Amino acid sequence: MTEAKRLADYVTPNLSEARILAQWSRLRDSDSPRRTWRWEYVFAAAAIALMSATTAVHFLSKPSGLSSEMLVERDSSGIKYVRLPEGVQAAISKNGQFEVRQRSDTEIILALLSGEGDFDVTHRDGRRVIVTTPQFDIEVVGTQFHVAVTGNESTPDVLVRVDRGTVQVRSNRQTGRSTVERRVTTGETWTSAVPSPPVAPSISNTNPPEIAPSLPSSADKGNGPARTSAKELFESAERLRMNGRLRDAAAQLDSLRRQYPGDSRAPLAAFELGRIRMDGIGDYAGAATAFESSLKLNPSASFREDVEARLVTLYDRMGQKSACEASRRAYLARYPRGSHVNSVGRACGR
Amino acid sequence: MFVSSFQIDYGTRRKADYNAPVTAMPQTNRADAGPADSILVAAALANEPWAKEALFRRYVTLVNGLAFRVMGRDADLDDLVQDSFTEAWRCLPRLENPQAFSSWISAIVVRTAHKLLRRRKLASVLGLRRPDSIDLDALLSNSVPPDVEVELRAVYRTVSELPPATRIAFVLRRVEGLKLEEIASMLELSLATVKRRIVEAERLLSFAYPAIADEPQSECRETPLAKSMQRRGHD
Repeated sequence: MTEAKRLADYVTPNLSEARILAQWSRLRDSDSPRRTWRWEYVFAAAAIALMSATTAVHFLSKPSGLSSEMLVERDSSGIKYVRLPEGVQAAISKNGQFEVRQRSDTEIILALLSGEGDFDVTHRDGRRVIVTTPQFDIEVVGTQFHVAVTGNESTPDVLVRVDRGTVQVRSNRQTGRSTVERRVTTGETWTSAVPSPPVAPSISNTNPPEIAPSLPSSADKGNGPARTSAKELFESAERLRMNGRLRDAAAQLDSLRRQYPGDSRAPLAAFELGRIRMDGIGDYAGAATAFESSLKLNPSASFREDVEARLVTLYDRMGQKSACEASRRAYLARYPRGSHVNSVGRACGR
Repeated sequence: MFVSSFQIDYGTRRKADYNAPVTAMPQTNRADAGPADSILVAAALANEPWAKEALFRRYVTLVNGLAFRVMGRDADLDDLVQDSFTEAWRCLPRLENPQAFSSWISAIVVRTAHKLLRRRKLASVLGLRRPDSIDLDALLSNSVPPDVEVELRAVYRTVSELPPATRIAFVLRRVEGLKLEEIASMLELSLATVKRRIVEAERLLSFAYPAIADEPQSECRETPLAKSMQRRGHD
């Protein structure tokens, strides 16, 4: 006790007479205890309320069906599992190079640059899912399939095996061979290599279904990845369109806008693609993507007014009122005396 | 009767100059240098302002010192002193033993400091305030012997990491040298709880500073400081 008292003696404040005076003055002048601490509670309550509101807004403001969260896990064997909340799952081999290039309500583009991947895509109306490889695009609508990119970097081979559903494989850049356009359905395997390599087992399944490799069809025999120029793609699309092969024409135009975004034909190709999808195929979501792409590729194109008018009509048909109103306002502001003023003015339920 | 005569003694001056500077009051902090605490309390209860000032004067050093050691910093001192005395004036009618004003106001200081530390902790957790640091150089007296300084620095470094209630109990035990029962009474806790908290603090201290650590349960403990005191005494 004694030594403890001595400890206290060595810890004493500087208590001058002036300070004592000041303390007494404050005490005498105040009739009640200081309540400044209440502000701390007010601030604390405000902070809690703000955090709660922020959390609520964060969750409530997410667009329906499209969450920004992408889950990526890797198991002990090195296989990477990618899960998008839009209903797309991928299992990528240990050596695989994979990336998500685009995510929107209407289009998801995944890129497998090397290695192998199993994909499982849930079908949703109006949405396109494309797995792009160095030479081929694999467009899917509700399917489960396997993609393998093998061989050297300059001329990689691509293998596609469909476990469920259907995919569309098409060339996506110059390959030195003619353009490939091939549908692969359940149980089929397609490969760009000649002869075809053995089927790769599913990397995410311990007991993958035994699927015999299917050789390319007679139409594809001898056809490898084509080295088609932008000009050739555009002309090919024109020919196909004149022959009534609208889907094939659309595929050519789509490849052009993707593979040659810097080409002068790309904005027009995107516009034409949108028109075909909108008027000929009835793929409104794809058309919207194409029109928007056209605007991005060349904002000052001579046909921009037509693109914007098309977008208004398209959103009107799709029932997207807010998008329709927004594009309508944009058109009328930019082209108050435009050639589509009347039709645009009547759009969006007016 | 005592009150009446006391009023004449000090009250005359107060009536003549109610707002006179405090220095006009007798300069004393010792309870035995003037009227008994019970007399001052009775006068204060009779709304005699001079009685409150006399009580303030008498215990201002005690209150400042206790608050300083519990808080571990000078910055909070004036607010804590004001809050403690204000609370004392408010609760004065409930003081059953006016002669025990000293321990009563000490308990008020401790509880007021405890509330302040808890609020600070909450504000710190919520990110509204940076944790208060203890400036050991400003805390310790210039005349502190080296061995005492070592112990005090270790104690206050430990204190800064403790929860408010444990921190206060530890300071009251280690620095103020109060008995466990007194600490329990001040903090309005059970004796077992106080013991547990002090053991917890001592354990932390012994972990960080094995040479400084003490046996908290022992009432007749011999701290390094005590040993050095004894050595100095023998010398």
